Amino acid sequence: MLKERISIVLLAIFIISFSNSSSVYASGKGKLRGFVTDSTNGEPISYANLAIKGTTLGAPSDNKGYYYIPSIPEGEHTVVVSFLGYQSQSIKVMIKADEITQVDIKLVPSNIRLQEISVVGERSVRENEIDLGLQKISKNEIEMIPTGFESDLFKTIQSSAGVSSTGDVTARYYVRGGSSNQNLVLLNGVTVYNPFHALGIYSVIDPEMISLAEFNKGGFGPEYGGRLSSVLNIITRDGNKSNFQANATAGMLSGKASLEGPIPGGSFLLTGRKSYYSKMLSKFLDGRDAPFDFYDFSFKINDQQPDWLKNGKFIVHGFFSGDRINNNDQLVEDYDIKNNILGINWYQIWASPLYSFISLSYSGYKAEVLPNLSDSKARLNKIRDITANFNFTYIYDSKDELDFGAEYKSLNSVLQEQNLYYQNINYEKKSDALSGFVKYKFYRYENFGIDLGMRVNFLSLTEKIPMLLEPRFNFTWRIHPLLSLKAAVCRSSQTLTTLSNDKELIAVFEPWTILPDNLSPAEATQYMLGIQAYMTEKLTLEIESYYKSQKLLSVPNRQKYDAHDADYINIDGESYGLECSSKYQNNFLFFKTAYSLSWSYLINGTEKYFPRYDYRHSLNIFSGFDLGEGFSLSLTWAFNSGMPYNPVDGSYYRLLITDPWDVSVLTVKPTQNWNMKEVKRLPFYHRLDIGLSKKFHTSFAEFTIDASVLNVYNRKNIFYFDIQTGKQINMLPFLPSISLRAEL
Amino acid sequence: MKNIFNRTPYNINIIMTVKNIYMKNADMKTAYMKNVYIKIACIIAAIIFPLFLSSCQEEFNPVSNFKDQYVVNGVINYDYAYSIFPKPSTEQNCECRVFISRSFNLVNNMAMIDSGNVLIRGASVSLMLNNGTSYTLQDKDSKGNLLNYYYCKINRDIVGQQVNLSVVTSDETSLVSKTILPYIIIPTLETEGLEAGIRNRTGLKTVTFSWNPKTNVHLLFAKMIIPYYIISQNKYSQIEVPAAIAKRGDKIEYVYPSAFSSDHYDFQFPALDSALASIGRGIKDKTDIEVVFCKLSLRGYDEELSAYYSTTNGFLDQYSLRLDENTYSNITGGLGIFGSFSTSTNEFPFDPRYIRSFGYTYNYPH
Repeated sequence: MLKERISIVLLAIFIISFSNSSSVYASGKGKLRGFVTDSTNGEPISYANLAIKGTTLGAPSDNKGYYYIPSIPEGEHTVVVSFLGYQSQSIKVMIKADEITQVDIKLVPSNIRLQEISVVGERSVRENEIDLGLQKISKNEIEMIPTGFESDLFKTIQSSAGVSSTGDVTARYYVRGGSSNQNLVLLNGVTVYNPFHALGIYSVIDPEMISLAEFNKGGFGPEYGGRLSSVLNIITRDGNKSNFQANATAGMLSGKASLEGPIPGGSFLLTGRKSYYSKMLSKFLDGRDAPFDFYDFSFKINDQQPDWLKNGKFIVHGFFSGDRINNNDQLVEDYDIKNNILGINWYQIWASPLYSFISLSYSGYKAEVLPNLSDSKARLNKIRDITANFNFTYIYDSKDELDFGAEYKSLNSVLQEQNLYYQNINYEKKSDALSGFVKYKFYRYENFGIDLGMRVNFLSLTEKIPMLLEPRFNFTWRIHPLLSLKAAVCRSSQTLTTLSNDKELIAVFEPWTILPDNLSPAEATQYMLGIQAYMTEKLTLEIESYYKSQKLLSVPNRQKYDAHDADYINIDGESYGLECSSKYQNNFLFFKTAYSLSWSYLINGTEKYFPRYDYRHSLNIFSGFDLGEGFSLSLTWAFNSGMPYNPVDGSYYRLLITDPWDVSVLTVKPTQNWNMKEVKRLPFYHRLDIGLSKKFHTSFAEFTIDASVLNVYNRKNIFYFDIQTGKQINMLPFLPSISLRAEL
Repeated sequence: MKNIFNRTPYNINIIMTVKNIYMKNADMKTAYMKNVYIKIACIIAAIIFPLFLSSCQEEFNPVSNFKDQYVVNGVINYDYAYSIFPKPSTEQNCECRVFISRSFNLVNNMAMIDSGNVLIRGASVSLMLNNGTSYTLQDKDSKGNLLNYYYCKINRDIVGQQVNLSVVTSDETSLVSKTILPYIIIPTLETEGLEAGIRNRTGLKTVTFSWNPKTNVHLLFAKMIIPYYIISQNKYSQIEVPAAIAKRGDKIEYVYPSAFSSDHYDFQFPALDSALASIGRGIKDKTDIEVVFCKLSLRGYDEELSAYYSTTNGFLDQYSLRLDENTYSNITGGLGIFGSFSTSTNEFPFDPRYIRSFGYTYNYPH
């Protein structure tokens, strides 16, 4: 079986490789390649535009700053390199026939701050770029959005069209009707199993370390697998290659610092964050005290083009985060949650138009509930994930690209817990998975871009094997220079899941596990159609529609009333919607809107119901103003139509058992009866946040003061109804915060 | 080196002109920026003002159309006690109580009620065993006095049997349910070396009781009691033993057993020591107190009552937050719960040395 599956992939690579006649395009022509970096710190610039003047030739740099332009006529040419936030450069290059010319380009940052906050790579030189569903997010964009106490990548994602959340107090996000455990979060290519701090209020990803985040809502390529809904690929900064630099930020919740600088042949980056005043978080927990203590620490060391290997780059990176709730009380439970990530990446540009990315990584996750002498249940979850990735890209003279590779994963999951029915669960599984992929991108046609890909699952983590083939198709057709039509189809499967309950608005313990043997791997197929229009040079409009069918999702068994009933069962899901995003930018104003109209359902046999995160309408408006003299202002306004809930159809006196030794039918308590068959919607949610930032310089440092106010007009958005009292609990109230950042 | 202060009038004029232009530009820039700020302020004010108006969120009431339903809360309890002091004997009792009420159209500000006022009378309530035996429940006692519930006493031999409940109200509404009465649990002392009696000795941390698990018992509760006799007052009394002792700051908290489902249960010796010591607290002559044995009661809930208890009392942790989950009900045709539990009580002697170490008298009960 395994041999058959491997044979299919090798055959596909073989056929594609030899069906492309490079020689037709190659005669008398040369190639240009190199890296685009920031002149001040040597950081790679992703998605910079490179164009050969007087021709239609060009290419964007990739997410590592690398670019490659084939089929350039022999002779002297001018390369125009541009990227928002940087001064454009024109560089003369001499192209020789049948040779690869290497030119590394350093771009100088411009002084206009607003250009920095724009979404990365706004308009690509490659008009047939295949990027349906892809959003590129920069560090500056994250930091401009007022989030209260901590700037947060996940809050930025939540404001995207097609992404929803269940409240202000959680950084969990739901993409196009998929549950939160269907989102893959990669940090430098390594899976982060618990990307949250403080019960999910914030993400563990400190914006300080981010170079670029690529968020893909469904049309992801075959190089990604294992999740149904989205891929968030976070690439951290390399560190300043020119100078030593230190930053420190003091906020109301935590303090953080970073140090970076050059080392022989490369650079390093260290970042760290530690909470010190968790009392602020009680605002997020309806006044409940939670003595949080969290930290995260990351490092990255890179050696670029070492002497012993030309055109190679080695990266060693690590990330460690921990969350602890220590109540110092034997009658209350404690929590301990940790992520440990270590990885080695080798990026190599070969003599031919081939480059490779090979990585070996370890991702460990441990979550533990220590009940002490409380009534809480003891729970433990451990994941040990060792993954090896091999990715190769070959660029033909026709501009077409062939990507192929493999992923091997060795995974051990341990789950020990007692469920609500006092049943002890001890589930441990060790398994291996092997997947291969091949992808061919047709870039040879000026107005068409086609991306045909296939992921093949050779070995599965689960007893029940997921589907063999996961086809991925992506298509762009430039109808007009200012208008592109895009389409994509994506099939994917998932064999790892969190045993989570979407009825839990706040879940402290969301254990990851390889699917138990009684459950089948989940599958999803998504169809997407979109239009991208450049209305003017400053105004972009994107419209996307999608239909997603999900099969065999693992959800809590709603009919479980006994310890012997299965905790989780397989059900199906369905979602569809329309998303509309626009961006406008001039020298002092940045304006972005994201609207989505969507439906999502879960289907259990004949029962069809809305998940908690189903919104009909969602609108997010973000605007940033450069006020000059170091001041910048940002406003975000979020609007959602109501979340679904089951209404109350009356009350009754239920048997009250406060003391199991004193059970009397005369001891009763008035209780609401929720009508589980009827669905109503909560009132509209809306909220305005304002952030004001001021930069100022002293002789030794640059300071930034960020002040923000969440829920400026103190809207009482409903979070939930207390099932015991029927009392309305609201989301975040008016909440001011301030932070100071120093850059040495 | 050129002296920059040695300026000609011509130079000064140029400098003045440049300065004026600069000042004018600066003024223009300031005016322009002011204009921009005013515009931005107006935009923000225009956005925020209508939002302030809508911020006064109306009280939202999550109520749908009221649905009138009957509510049945019924419990069968079976108690079994085995005594060894002063001589071996057994006591058994089995009875059923059913409370019938109606749902009501109120969601908030619901006060606790006098259940007697809301009991639905005039219903026909009966229990039927699989072997055909039936029992009728009455809302009056044998003397004809009104009870606040429907009641009947049951023969003891229904343990392990399915009992079907039938309620027919005066408006002919039929409500049915069923339960299987759990078997009793007979515990044995698990901790080695305590055969002669329970005592705290070096190396022991807990006194552990174990039993053979029963298939139709789901949730379990344990309770340990120490009966004692004050000789001079001719008074019998008892104290409950905590399972453990916890420190909360400087204060000591006693932790009593909560629900569990395992085949054993541990009581920590420090908790037992503490309970025994507390008997004689404040009494000068400790020999005035007689202690001989402890009683361990084990209560097993059936499947229905266990599910009900889990949905109403189930506790994962203090931060997780679940929504819209209804209380478990097994009443067909209405709301409520019908379940059963059985309780066993067994006596375990203390080691005389252990009791005397507290200064108490170890004598057989009178």
